Amino acid sequence: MSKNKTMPRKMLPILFYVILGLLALIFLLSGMHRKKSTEAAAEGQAYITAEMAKDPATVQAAIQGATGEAAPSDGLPADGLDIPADGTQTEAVPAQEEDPAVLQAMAAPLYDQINNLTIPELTPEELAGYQQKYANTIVIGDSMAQAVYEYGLLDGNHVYFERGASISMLSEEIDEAMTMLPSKVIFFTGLNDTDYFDDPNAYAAAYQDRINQVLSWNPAVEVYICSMTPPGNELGAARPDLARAPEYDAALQNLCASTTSKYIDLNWMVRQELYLEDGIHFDYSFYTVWLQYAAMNLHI
Amino acid sequence: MKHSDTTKKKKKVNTKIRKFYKILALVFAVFFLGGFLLHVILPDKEQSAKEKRMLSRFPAITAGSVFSGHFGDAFEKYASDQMPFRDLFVSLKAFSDSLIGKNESQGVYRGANGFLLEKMDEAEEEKLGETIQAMKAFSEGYASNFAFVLVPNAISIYADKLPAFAPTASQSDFSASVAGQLAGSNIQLLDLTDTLKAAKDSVDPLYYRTDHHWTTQAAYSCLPQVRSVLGVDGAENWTPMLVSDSFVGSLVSKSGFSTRKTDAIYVYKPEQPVNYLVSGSSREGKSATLYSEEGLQSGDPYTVFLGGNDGMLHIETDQAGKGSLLVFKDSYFNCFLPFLLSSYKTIDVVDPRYFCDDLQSLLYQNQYSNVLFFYNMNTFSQDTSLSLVLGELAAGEVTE
Repeated sequence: MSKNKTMPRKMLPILFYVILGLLALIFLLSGMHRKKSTEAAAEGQAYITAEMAKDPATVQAAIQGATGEAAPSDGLPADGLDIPADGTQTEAVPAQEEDPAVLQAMAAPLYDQINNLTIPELTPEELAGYQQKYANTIVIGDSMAQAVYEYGLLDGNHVYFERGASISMLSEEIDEAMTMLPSKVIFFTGLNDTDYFDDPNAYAAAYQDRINQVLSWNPAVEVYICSMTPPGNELGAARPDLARAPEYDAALQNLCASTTSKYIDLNWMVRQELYLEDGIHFDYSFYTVWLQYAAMNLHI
Repeated sequence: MKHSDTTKKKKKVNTKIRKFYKILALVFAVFFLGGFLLHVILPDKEQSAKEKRMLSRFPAITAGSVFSGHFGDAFEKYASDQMPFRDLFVSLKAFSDSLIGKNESQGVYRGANGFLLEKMDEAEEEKLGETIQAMKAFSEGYASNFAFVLVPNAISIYADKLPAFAPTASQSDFSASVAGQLAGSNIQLLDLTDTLKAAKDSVDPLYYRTDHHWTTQAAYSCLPQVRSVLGVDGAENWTPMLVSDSFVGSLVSKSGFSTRKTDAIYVYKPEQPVNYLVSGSSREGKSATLYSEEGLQSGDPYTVFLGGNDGMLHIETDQAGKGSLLVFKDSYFNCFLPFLLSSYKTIDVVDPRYFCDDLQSLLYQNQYSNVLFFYNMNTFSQDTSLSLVLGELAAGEVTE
């Protein structure tokens, strides 16, 4: 009687350890079941590797060749493409002369909108139309560029920004942006750099470094630089450092005058009513005008 | 003397048993407390690579959700999804189930020769009706050629591999119901069941034995029918290339059924390659291929196609003068897409489950010559995301 009772009791620990051991075994085996492909798959894998190695820029050129689309710098005559091989663009290139009168005529309705401060919202169709125009254009910058994305004017694949950054801190954004193979790049940065640079000429030199970085990806890319817009009157009175913005802006204009980069003048758009409360950034209506005016400058 | 001997022995046994009980209690406590602690300490996983799905996250606690019971339900899902060593316990359960002769686990049947087949759940009529209504409304408000390709699953084509008397919803009934609801609309429905049944003897396999997807071979065998419903032609002469013969698909991890045989994944190489560029909402930059080497080497080699599921893909090809295509799809389309590259100048691919862009804006920007819905029956019968994406469109038009 007592034997019968104790035997299963004695067995209990053994059974328990066996189960525990089995569990551990299954646990170990479950981590080992991934197998490797055999050599039969080698040719196919080499095909995938070759696919991955295809260079997007070369393929883009092939697509443009096949479909007869304009080369990346459409809007320019073919002879406007003689850019130095090293891509530095330090000499003035006698590219096609922009006729300011043409732009002014085109932008006349926008001037009226700004002067009267009656800026109509873009309809979804109009906005989509602009988004299509900007298909091969990328905007890079700080919070000034960020607003283009935040206001929903262009999507995240077309705007690359770092809030609060100096122009010299944008190399990562530039590399990321250039993998989208744009044909036009717009730089739009603001007052941060009055902090980072005391000398406007050093600022312009730093800008040229980043432009060279863009051109090192593709020397045929057209580069556009937006004005550094001044602070609002109130903020400007309180902050003399920010009030120096026009000096920096002049340095950008000089830079564009002596290289192939083109300057997009935004100063005519600045109205006290269009500032946000911080006196630095602008409201949505400013940016709808920006979107249209920049498109005119880009000939898109 | 004798008496004290037995008491000694008894005492000895008692201490042994006691010691064992202590260990038993300790192991028990470690399992429970340790499991709980691990659950708390280990970071929650966003998705399960083995099951190829997003896992539940910790639900938000609000008074409303607690009292309505939503929180409790969501928490239960969260607790079971994020349980430590979940995969191990799933296989353990399947193993113990198979010992007692069960051949269904987590909606997966173990069929002839260990072929795994996913069960078809009954469609929710109301949701299905909403989806089809949204598709019809879209096709009426947008000028294009609309087509809907519906791919049956393994349970239909390989019904002979199912265990005897396995209860599953009928896909032919489902397809008939979809066809009935689409009747009279300008969406052309192509049910690939007959095509795949006809190809069954010549193309093997049409479905992966360990995964819920169809094979590239099956997709290729349907190419003429799909082209004809789209009204396009394209590249001929494709060579199948084996890229993996060690594929263990999601049905294994989902069910826990072990498998000794693995699957082979093929990609098809065209004789006349097409130049194309792909960009996507969750991709960095443009790439010159739809294939992903990283995907091939990952735990889910099916992601060799498209590198997984992107909410939105934009493809630009060198096929000048050809049309443009907008696709709403599930992952069955991933291995089919390469076959369409030679037929279009641009292809935009929307996966409504992950799509968070603006469809209306896309439609303003493009005049698509074809709009294609491409789903497998199992996914489509349960889908709610397509009606959401198309529904926003309708709402947008109303407010205009």
